[in-house]
Amino acid sequence: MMEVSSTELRSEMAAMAPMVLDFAKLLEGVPPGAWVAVSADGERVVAYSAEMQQAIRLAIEAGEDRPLVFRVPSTPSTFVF
Amino acid sequence: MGTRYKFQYSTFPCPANAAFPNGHTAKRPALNLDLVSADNKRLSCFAIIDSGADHCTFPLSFATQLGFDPLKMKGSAAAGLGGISNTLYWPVRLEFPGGALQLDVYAGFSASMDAIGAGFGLLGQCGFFDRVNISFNQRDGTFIVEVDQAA
Repeated sequence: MMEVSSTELRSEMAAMAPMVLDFAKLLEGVPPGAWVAVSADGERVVAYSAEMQQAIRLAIEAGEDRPLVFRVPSTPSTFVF
Repeated sequence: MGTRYKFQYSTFPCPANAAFPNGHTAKRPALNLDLVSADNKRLSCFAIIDSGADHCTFPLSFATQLGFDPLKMKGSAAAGLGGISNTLYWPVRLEFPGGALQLDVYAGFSASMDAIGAGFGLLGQCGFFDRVNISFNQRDGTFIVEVDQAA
């Protein structure tokens, strides 16, 4: 198998849009089970609600045209799929 | 050789419980992407790269948000730790940020994912792992997605 040097690897990599790295920090203060609408840059929670559609609607009203949606887990569990 | 995109793992809080009295932080390889329907309805969401998932699967609530009719979708049993549940399938396009990758997949939509509070998708073997190369370096906290030039 061909070895790829770290220098070569770096040169072939490109940057995608920023993503959320620390969900604990992002979701601070958001109640468990809530659907959250996150700004497109992944930096802040724009709105949250018990209903996904409501969270999206509130985010759009707040000027975030294409929010990222995510749900805060309702129970303190780990995920195994 | 294609183009390689390097990402950092995301961290998710796991509060304290009996087994983990101090709580812990889960590192998961998450991507943000758009689900796009045939009539161009769009939902931006997160999905976790999951080699244990046979198919790309999302909460059923995502399907209804995109306007899919559950009565027209085709069902298939999907087994997981929560037992066996009916998962409904429908074609959808996955668009990743920056136009780097678009994948047309026959994705599953599961009410069980909604029931357990999973508000994100899973990128599985059919539709994702069979289209790109993935390498994980969990200890380094990074993973790489390699996309064919023509993808």
